Amino acid sequence: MIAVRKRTRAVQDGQQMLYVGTRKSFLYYIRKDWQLYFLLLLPLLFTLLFKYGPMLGLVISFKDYKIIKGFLDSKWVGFDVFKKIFSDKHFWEACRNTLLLNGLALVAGFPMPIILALLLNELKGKYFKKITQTVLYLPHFLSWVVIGALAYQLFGFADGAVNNFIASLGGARVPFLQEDYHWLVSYVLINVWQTMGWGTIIYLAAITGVNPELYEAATVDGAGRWAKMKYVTLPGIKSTIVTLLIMQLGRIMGGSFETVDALSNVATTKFTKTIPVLVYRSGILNANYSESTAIGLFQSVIGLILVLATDRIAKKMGEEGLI
Amino acid sequence: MNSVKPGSKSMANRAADFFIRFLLFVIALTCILPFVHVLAKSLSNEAYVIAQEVYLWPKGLNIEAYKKVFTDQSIIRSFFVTIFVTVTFTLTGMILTVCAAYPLSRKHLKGRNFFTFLFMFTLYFAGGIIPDYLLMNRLHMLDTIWSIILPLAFSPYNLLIMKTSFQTSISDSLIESAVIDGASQFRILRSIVLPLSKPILATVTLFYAVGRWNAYQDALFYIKQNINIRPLQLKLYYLIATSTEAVNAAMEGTAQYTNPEVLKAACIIFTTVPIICVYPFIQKYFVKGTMVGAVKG
Amino acid sequence: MKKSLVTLITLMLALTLVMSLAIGCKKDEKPADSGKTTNMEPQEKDKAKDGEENTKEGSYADYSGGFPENVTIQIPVYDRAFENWDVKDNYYTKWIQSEFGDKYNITVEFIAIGRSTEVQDYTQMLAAGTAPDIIFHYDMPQALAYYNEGATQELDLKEIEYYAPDYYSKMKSTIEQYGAVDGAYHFFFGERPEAYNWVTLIRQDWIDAVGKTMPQNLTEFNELLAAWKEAGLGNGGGNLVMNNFTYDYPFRSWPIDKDERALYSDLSVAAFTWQPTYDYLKNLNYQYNHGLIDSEFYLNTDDATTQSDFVSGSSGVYSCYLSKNSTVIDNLLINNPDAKVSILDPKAGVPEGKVPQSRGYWPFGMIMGINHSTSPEERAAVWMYLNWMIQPENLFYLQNGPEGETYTTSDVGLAVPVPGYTGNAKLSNNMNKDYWCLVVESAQYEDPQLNYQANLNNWAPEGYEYLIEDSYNYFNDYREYMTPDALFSVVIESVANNKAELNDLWQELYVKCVMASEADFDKVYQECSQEYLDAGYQDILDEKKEAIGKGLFN
Repeated sequence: MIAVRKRTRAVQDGQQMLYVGTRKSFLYYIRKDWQLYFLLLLPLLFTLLFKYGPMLGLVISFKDYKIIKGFLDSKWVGFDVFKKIFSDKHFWEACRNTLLLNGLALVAGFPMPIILALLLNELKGKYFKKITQTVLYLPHFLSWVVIGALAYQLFGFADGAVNNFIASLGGARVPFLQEDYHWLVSYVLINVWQTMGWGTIIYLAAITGVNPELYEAATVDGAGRWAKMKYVTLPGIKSTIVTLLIMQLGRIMGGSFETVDALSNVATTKFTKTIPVLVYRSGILNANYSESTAIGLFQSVIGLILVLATDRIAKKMGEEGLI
Repeated sequence: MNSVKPGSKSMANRAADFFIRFLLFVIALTCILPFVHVLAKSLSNEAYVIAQEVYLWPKGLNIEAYKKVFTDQSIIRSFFVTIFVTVTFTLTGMILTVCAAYPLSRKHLKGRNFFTFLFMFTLYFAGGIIPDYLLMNRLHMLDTIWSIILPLAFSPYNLLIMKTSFQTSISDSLIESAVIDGASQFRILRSIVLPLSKPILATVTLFYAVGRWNAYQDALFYIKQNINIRPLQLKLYYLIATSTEAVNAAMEGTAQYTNPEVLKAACIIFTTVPIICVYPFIQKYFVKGTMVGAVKG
Repeated sequence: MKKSLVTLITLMLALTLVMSLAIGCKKDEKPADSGKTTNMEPQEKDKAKDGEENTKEGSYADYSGGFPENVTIQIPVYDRAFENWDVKDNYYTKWIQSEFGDKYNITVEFIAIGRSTEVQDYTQMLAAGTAPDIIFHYDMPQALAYYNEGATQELDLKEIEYYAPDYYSKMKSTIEQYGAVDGAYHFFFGERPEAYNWVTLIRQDWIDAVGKTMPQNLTEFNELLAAWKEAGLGNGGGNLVMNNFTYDYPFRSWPIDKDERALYSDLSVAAFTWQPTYDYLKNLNYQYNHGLIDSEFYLNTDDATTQSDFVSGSSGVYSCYLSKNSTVIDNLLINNPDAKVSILDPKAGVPEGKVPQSRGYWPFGMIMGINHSTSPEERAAVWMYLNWMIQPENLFYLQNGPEGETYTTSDVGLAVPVPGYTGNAKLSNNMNKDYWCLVVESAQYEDPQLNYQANLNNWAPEGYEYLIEDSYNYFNDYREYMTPDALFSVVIESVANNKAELNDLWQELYVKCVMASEADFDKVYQECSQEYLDAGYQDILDEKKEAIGKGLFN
C-alpha cells in the first residue's frame, strides 16, 4: 500500500483534521471521495472493455499465429518472432528512419502551432483572425493520398508546376521529392504544414485560460507585447505545452504508414523505409500477424518508456507531468 | 489591447502588426490553395483533370460530378448517418471525458496516478485489428451503428488535454471554498468547473467531432453487410477504391464509374465542407476573460 | 516514487491479464451457427463425417428431391459499393432463392466481401468463425495462404462429380491439374475463357508523322521512339512494374525449358537474376538514357498517373484493359483532337531473334475452397448451387436478366442490353459478374462467332471496334507462343514469406539499374542481383529447385 501522504492537504480539508497522521484505509478514501470515483466508473468500464479486452491479442507476438487456431491455441514460440525481427537488417534501418523522420517533424513541427497561436493571439482584427484560424487548419482535412498526388503535381522534377515556373525564369530545376536529402526536408515541411493549423487550436484554447489580470499587471509594469508574450502567455500555457510534448515523444517510434507512402517514390529510398511501413508489409501484405503485432508491441514499449522518462524529467523540472 | 504609446514604440508595433499579418496571410494561402485546387478539379471536365491540366481554375466547367453526388441516394443517406454518428459519438465522448478528467485533476484523489496511467497506457498499447474485430463480433456489434460510436468514444489523448486544462485553469482555492460551503462534487463540476472551461470543452468537442467525421478505418471493417449505415467517409473511400480499381474492373467485366477523378474531387469537397463549417461556431468560445471575477468569489 | 511506479505497472499488467482472459477465454469457441461444427483438424473431421455419411465409398446421400432439413449456405459476393445496389438482397438474390433455394430446401445467404479489403475481411471472419462456406480469391498465392492457415477442407472429387455433374465435366481437368496441394485436393475453380482486351494503345498519328510503319521488333520500336523524340512529339510512356511480373516474356528463349520456367517464371516474384530480366533491364536502361521513355516512369504507379501522360500528349504509348465504358480515348481526343490510336503489335516489344511470347492465363479464374467448418450437407448444397448456376439458361438469366425487359435479342442471337433500363430487374453495374464469377469469368455464347461479337460489344468503346478486332487478330497470330506458368503442387513457403519484401526490393533495384549510366549498367546489375538474392530470392530458388527435382509441378 502506498504509504505516507503529505499532511498539508489534510489540514486544509476540514473533515480530515481529525485524522491527521494516521494511515488511511482504502475504504476510507473511497467513502470520502465516492463522488469522484463514481464519475470515474463509466470511463473506466469503457476502457477496460474496449481497450484492455482486445489486448489479449498482443500475445500472438509470442506465438506462431494461425487464424483458425486462434490466439490461445496457436503454438507458443517465445521470443522467436522478435529474434527474427531484430536480426533483419532492414529493421534497424527502419528504426533509424522512423526516429529521423519523426524527430525532425517534432523539432520543426512542435514549435510551429505555438508560434502560430501566439501570433494569432496578437491579431486585433476579429474577422481576419477568425478566417485565418479556420483556413489554417484546412490541411488537416486532406487525406494523405490527396496530398501526395498534389505534391508531385506541384513539385515533380520534370513536370511539376513549381519546377516549370522555376525553369521558365531560367533557374535550375529542384528535385524536391526525388533526391534523398531534398526529400527529407520536403517531407518534414509538408508534415508540419499539414499538422500545424490543427495544433494551434489547443494552444489558442489554452491562451484564453490565462488570467487577464496578469496581463493588466504586466502592462502596469511597462511590459511591451513581446515581453507580455514571454512572461505571461508562455508561462500560462506551459503545462499544456509540456503535456503535448510528452505525448508526442511517446509517438516517436510510431507514425502512420500513409504519410510516408503518399510522399515517397521508389527512386528516393534512403529514408523512406520506416517501422509503420514494415508493420503494413508484414501485417497487411504478408498476412503475418505475429510479426506485425510484435513490431507494434516494440513500438508501444518504446513509446511508453519515452513517455515515462520524459514525464519524470518534467516532474524533476517542477512541472506537473502527465501522470 | 495595447495602450497607445507615442513615438517609435507605436511605429515598431505597427510594423510588427503588419509583418504578423503578412506572415499569417502567406501561410493561410498555402493552406487554402490545395482546397481551391480540389474544388477546381471537382468542377472540371474529366479529360483535363486526368491530363493534370487543372490547377486553380476549372477547365471545361461542368457539374456532372455534383449532380451525381446529390442524386445518389446512398450518398445522401451516408451523410445523415454520419451526422447522427458524429453527434452521438461526440456527446458520448464528452460525457466520458469530463467524467474522467475532473476527478483526475483533483490532486488529493487517491489512486489518481494509477488511473491516469491506466488510461494513458491505452494510448500506446493496442491489441490490433483482429482482436478488435473479435470483440465486436462477441458483443454482436458488427454491422450496427454502435460499432463506430462506442469503442473509440473515450479518447485518452483528449482526456489528458482536458485534465491538464482543469488542473491549470481552475484554481484549487475555488474548488475548496465550494467544498467548504458544502457543495457536492457533482455540483461543483456542473456549476463551477464546466462554465469556466468553455474553451477547452469547445476544443475537445471539436476534436471528437472532427475525429469521428474523418475516420473510416473502423467502419471499413465493422460495417460490411449492412450497407444502409455506411458513413460518408467510407462511401468516399469506396468510390476512390473502386475508381482506382477500374483497371481490374475492366478486366473482370465492365468499368462502372466514369469520371472517377472528378467524382473523387467532388466527394472530397462534399465531405469536408460540412465539418469545416462547425469551427466558426466553436471559435466564439475562445474568448479571453472567462475567469474574471471567479477567483474572488 | 520508484516503488509506487513498479506497483503501478504490476497492478496494471495484472488487470490487463485478468480482463483479457475474461474476454479472450471464450473467444475461441465457435458460435453455434446452423450446422457449423467446432474447430477440428480438417482431415480428422472429414474422416469422421465421411464415416457417418457414407456406408461405402462412392455412395452419397441423394438430395435431388431437396434436403430433409433446411440447409443454409453462405456464398461470398464481392461488394464494390455500386450505388443503389445491395449485394445481399436484390432482384437476383431473390430469384436465386426462388429458383434454386426453394426447390431444394436451401437458404442461400450472401455475404458481402469488400473488393479492396477482401483478405482482411476473410481473415477477420475466419478468426471469428463467421466466414462463408466458400473461401475464394483470384490469385493462387493467396489461395495457398488460406490453405496454409487451415481455412479450407479437403475435397472428394467424386463427391463433386456426384452433386455437380455438369460443373464437374466442365472443370474436371482443371481441378485435377491445379486443385491439389500437398497431395490433397483443396481447390475448385471458375472457368476462364480467352480474353484479349488487355491492349497497348499507340499514337498512330505520331507514327504517320515521322513517316514510319508499325514496328515489327524492338529495334524498330526504339527507332520509332527516337524519331518521335527528334520530332518533338513525345516519349514512349512507361510505368512502374510491380506486383505482377510478366515483363520478361518477350525476352525469353523459345522453345521453353520446362524446369527453367518452373524455377524462374513466377507472377508474384520477379526473376531478377534470370537472363531475360537482364536483357529487359538493359533495353530499358538504353531507352531511359536516350530519352526514349518517360524519365519519371517510376512515378507512374497507378492507372491514373500513367493515363495522365498519354491523355495529355506527353507519351504516345499506354496499356490498359479496354471496355465499353473506357474513357481514355475520349479523354485523349479532348486534349488532342487530332489524335489517332491503334493497337501496338506485340512483336514491337520483342528483340530480334526472339518470338512474341506472352503469359498464358491459367484456365481458371476464381479459385475457391470450402470453409474448413462447413458441414457435409452444406458442402453438398454448395456443389448443387454451382451445378445449378452453370446450367446455360440460369447463367444466361443471371448475366442478362429477363428477356424483353433488360435486354432484347438481336437478329444474330446476341443479347443487347436495353440502354438506360431502371426497372426492378436491373442488373449490377458489372452485369452481376460477382454472382456468376464462381463458374465463369466472362459471358460466353456457345457459338464462337456469336461469342466474338459479344466480346466486341463488351470490350470496345463505341466506334473503336477495330481495336478489339486487331487485338484479337494479334492474339490469334501469336497464340502458339502463349504459355501458362507452372503451378507447384506444394506450398513454396519462401515465396509466401518473402514476396512482399521482394516486390518492394524489385521496384527499388530495377529502377536503380534503369537509371544508371550505360557504362555502369553491368556493375549496378550485379550488385542489385546479389542484394536481391540475399534478401530471400536465393531461398526461393533453392526451395523451388528442390520441388522441381521431385517433379512437384505441372
